[in-house]
Amino acid sequence: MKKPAISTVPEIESVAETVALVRAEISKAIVGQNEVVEGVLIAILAGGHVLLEGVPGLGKTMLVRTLAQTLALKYSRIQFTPDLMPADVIGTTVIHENGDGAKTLRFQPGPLFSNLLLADEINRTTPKTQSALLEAMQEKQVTVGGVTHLLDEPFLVIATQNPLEMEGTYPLPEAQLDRFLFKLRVPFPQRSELHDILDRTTQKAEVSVNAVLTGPQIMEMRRIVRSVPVAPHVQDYVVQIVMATHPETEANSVAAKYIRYGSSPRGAQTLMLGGKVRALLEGRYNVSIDDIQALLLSSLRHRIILNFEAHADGRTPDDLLEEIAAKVQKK
Amino acid sequence: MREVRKRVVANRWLGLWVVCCNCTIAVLLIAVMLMRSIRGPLIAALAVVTLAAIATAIAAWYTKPSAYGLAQRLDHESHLGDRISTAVYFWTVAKPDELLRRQRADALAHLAKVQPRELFPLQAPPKMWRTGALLVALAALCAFHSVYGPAIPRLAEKAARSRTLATLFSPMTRAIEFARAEKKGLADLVAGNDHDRQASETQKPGQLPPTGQPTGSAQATANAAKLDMSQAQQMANAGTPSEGQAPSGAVPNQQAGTPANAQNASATDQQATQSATGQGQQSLGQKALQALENLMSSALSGQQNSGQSPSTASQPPNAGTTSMQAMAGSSQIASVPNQAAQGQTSNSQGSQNQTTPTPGKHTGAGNGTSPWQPRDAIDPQLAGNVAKQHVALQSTGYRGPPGKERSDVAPGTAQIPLQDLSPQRVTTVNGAGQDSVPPRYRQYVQNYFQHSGK
Repeated sequence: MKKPAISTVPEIESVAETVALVRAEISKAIVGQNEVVEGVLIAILAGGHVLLEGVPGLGKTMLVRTLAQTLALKYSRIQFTPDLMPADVIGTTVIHENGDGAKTLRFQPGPLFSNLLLADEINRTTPKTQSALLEAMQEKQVTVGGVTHLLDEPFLVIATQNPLEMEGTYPLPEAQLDRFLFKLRVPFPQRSELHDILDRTTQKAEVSVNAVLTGPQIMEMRRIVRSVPVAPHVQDYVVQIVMATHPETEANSVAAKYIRYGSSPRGAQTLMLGGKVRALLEGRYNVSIDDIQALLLSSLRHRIILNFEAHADGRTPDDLLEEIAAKVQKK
Repeated sequence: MREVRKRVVANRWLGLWVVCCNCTIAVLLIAVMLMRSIRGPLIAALAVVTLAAIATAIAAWYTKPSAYGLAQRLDHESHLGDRISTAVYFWTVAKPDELLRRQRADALAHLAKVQPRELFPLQAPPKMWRTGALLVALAALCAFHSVYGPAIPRLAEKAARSRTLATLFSPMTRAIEFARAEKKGLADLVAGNDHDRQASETQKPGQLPPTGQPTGSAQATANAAKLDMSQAQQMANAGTPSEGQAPSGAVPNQQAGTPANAQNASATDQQATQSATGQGQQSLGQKALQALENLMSSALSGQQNSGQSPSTASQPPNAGTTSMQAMAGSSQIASVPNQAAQGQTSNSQGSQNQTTPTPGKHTGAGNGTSPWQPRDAIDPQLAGNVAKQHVALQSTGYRGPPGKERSDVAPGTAQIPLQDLSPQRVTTVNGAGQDSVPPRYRQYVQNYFQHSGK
């Protein structure tokens, strides 16, 4: 049954206010990292998953744990290791003995059955286990023993990975990477932020975070987000950006020189949905080109595959995307 | 939005009109420089400028941006985050939802804060300075015109009277006059040649002997002269087939026997042929060219006479003979000693006027019935041409008639097969005489009938 597209005024206005409250709660535990927090919140409202990349000790796990407390969602964490099996993530069928002594097979759900899943060090497990998340992330369901189990909404996977110590790791396959809405880089904190971190974590005072947002509210916000109007020229800009990442589209371009595979259509969907959320968070009721440009790197940096020449020249996906965006903007 | 549209259209009209004004002023500048009266061009320029203003205004209005385009420009200029353009695009939605209504209200609220006169001022085109420069130049030129008259004719008059220019151009003028005198001398020379030719034609009426009945050395000389004539025609006509154009009537006139006389006679006969066929209406340049060719052919024949005297030409080519001369000598002389002993050609072709071949010197395919004459009567370049034709035939896979011979030349030089292309009366093949077949196709026809008989 199709839900009505009409949103009441208080709900629309409450989006920005509620998100501001969440930010305030998160900032109690997390110092700085405003862009990362904003990206995670946009991904939650857009209905996508987030891949956090950063060196150890930057607060990635802390951020996700604080977010789970703020959102009042069912939270679970999986530490991915090389010997982790898919059944350890999804769940398995176990023999259950009833009170009368009869034994039956029963599905024992894994940690995947939650609202907010922290997949810590996801690149340390084998591709087989990594692929166990594919169906859950895209279709919000799990099939075990021929039986499909639906996951609870909202379902959000926040994975972390360490760009260092790549020995013994398994880089995520392209299909898995494409399922993440954003890939956010967690930067090292600034000097003042580092002072704040030391003050908060080395003193006796305990930080308590309140839950300000519930699951149903998140689902309602997702519905409102999809109603944000987009002008044709903004949508055309998104299409141009995504098309410009493909090497076969235009000869003698940056993409033709350095990119082996361009972004998938999921990249365009990400830009559009993220732009809608960002517009609402900025207090606008329409998507702007500025929104698209702001989300360009986090949306597409993990969706393009560079060729050998790019690696040899030391080019990064962020460099290339900025160059592509500059050229598209000139048109 | 209306204010924005007006200003956008006005700026566009101004840009177009300035371009038209620049073009008009540029044309007016040229007219003022050339014409004696500037009143007419000024009035015409004013009319053109006025008409251009109207036309560009119409063009600017009909090419005005749409409301959506204007909204995009307004968003871009005022940093409104695509609010106005989104509202304009969704303005026609009949039943807008709450978000659309709020978006419209938000856009209108931001639009009210926009100052179109600040964002879109009426501004001069960026290349307006060109118009100012042209106007200054026009004013200066009008002032000059009012005092001295039109500028260009006055400058030309001054240049004509200038001693510096005359000194500058005098060597060039002298060179031009010298070239004219040289051309006139050549024309006189051509006229003298024409006069001589006409006198010789009146002295020698053209009784042509029947072709195919040559006798003795006269026939050989005639054939040589004929070949030389065709060569001269090839030089003059640049590749025109010689056999089809050389009239047989010109052959008897050249009975002196020396190659130089034959070439001179051929050139003269060519002119006679052209005048006789009505194609002698030559221009002065063509006559001069013809005279130069005559002179060149005379000089060439003189060189050949001095370089190939009968005594030296009768010697077989030795190892020291090189290039064209050796090739021509070998093709004419056929200095293979044992070829005469084989007797492949002499028996079948008969002997009429040949000289007694010296063993090792005058043997070969050319001896016997062929009209090939002693080497002093044949141009070596022509012999080279004959050999080249045969080489071309061999390149097509045709190996030549069985009676033909090869001549050995010095080591390191090419072996060039001989082929007799002169008219020959050969035995009839399947009842058809070869006289009716053109010489160049004769071997093909003979080969065809031989193969068809098998």
